[in-house]
Amino acid sequence: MVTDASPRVAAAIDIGSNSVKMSLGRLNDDGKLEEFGQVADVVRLGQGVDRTGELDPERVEAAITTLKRFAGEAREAGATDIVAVATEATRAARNGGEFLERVRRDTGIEVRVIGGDEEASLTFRGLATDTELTGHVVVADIGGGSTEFVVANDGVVLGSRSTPLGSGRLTERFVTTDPPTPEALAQAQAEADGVIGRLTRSLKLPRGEGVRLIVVGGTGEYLARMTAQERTLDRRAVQNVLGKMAVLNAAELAEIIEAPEARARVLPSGVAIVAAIAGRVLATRIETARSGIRSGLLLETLARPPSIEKPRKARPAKTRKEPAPAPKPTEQDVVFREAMRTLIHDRWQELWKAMPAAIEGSTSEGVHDVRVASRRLRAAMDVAAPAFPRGWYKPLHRSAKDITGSLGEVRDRDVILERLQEQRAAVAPADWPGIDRLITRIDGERIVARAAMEAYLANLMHGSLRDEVERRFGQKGSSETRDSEANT
Amino acid sequence: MTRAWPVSNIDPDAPTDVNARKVLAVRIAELYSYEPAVTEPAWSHELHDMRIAAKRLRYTLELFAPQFGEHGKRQTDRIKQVQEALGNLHDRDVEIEMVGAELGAAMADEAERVRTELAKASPQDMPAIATSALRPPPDDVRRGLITLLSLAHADRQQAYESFTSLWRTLSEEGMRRDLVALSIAPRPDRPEASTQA
Repeated sequence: MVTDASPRVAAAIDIGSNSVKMSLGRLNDDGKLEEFGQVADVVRLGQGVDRTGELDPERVEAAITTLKRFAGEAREAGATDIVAVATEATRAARNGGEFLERVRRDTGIEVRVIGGDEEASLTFRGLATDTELTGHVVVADIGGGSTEFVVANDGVVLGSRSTPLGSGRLTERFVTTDPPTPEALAQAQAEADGVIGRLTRSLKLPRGEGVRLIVVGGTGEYLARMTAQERTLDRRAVQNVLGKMAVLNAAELAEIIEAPEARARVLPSGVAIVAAIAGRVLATRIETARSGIRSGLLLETLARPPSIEKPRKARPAKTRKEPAPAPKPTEQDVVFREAMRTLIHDRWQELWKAMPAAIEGSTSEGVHDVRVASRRLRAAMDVAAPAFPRGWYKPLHRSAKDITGSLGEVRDRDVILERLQEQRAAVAPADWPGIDRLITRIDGERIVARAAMEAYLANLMHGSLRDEVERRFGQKGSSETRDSEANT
Repeated sequence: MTRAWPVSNIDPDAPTDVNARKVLAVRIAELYSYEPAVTEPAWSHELHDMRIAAKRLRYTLELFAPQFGEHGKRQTDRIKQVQEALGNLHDRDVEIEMVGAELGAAMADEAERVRTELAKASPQDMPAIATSALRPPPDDVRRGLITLLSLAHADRQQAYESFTSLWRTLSEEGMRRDLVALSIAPRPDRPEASTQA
């Protein structure tokens, strides 16, 4: 680890879905950020989260080991502040809260889980420290579990969005062989293209040769290493690299990019994401830069007064509010009634949690998420009906069904509109008037359906249903109703 | 949407895994009741119902994931593929219906336009009106809708072929056998205790 005499050094740690990375930094005499001592470990914390909804215990241990080491190195280098953020994998996992508690207890590091918007903002701020951001710029920070997009013009941010598009995620979903098949890479690219297509409904991506596409993060860095084009590549080079990915296995790729094999394994999907973005933005040149999150964090931290109390040693756990309580597993030997009570309660909670995004409506995914949550809830309530008194159970069961129904009209139209926009982009301009006529009609129907859905969901959020669910299925309420259920 | 097959013998006071297997057995039977539709590309309604049955089966596997263990996860992945393939097929069916309806409306609009213009035209203008109807302008809305319809039909055919190919592969792999085994076997890592102990 490089050390340097400095009155104030800070360490910024980024816990991503693929890697845990740390940078040390200080401000020089001109107030500019100087970074040194960068380290990274590929721990694949996000591995399996899409499939199981939870962080894998083995990956958690790997992350803790890495964080302990990083914390030691940072303190050795004289860091007065250690700041850490966790992104998509921790955000998405049900046991993300438990993981953060473990980190705090075992390493003394307080990790902040940041949302996609904050991630995008930090990325942009950090990128601005060493990159001139003039002109129309699209920044894509490709992580293992998510990709953050920032659109800016002459350094002014016009908008940002986080998408559930990650190199690790796509690898788990599409890549089953080593090396990946060309078909798998094409599927990964098509999936990425679909997600970006949906994104363009809420974030206007500039298109054309003059647009600067800047890919930050490991994918961009490794992509540059695969070509002889240093930090700026042309679009064709990306497709060429993607072609190479189908013939190089992870071990061979790891040697070329000088990275661990685990990182090389997810790179092809990352490159597929770059190819999809380049195809959408139509930029002829693609710039690459290292991830800006840690630079942004260092700037943010060094602008604040130093920590009064340094977290030098691991501290015992304290009770504190967790962002999302981990659901209790349904154990085999638990009686069905009690297991279902817990499951149904958890599924209502998932539903409540998803509702605000659907009402807010900035992306079509919000509606989709509530629909899926309501279906999952119904699946539980369908089979649990014989376990609870019909008198109070049936109305709640009915409500769960109505929620799914209330979203159907909007969701169906969202899907069709996305498809029509894709079709429109692929056909001749002479075909556009007919497609536009259909889009206009469906969009009109969607507006009407959406208004009804928003009113319905808002009413549910603030009505008595929540209390009733809590009374019947929550910890507090379950004892109240248990006696009557025994006679069901 | 077809109602879910009821699971009639749930015992609320029995262990969860016992009931989980009962639910699973019904959901498997429900899915396979639609198997005759697999070889019938025109049976859109049945294939749609099969998709819903696949979804119910997947949710059951997910709901009782701790009971079904690793074997359950493998089956969940398979059923998810089936559900997605049938979903693509259904999306194309919906699209064909919607575009077809819009094309019908556009044609009715055009027929009405021609009728109205002919009704008020002088005899010497009538051939021009007829020509305009038979040779529509380049920006006629029907052109785009016909293009959409043809694309949707081609994609539908492809979606059907993808689904049948997937179903064939999964059948050859023994998906039904594996599902049924899951619905009758004790949890692999904890054999059921002998009653003669």
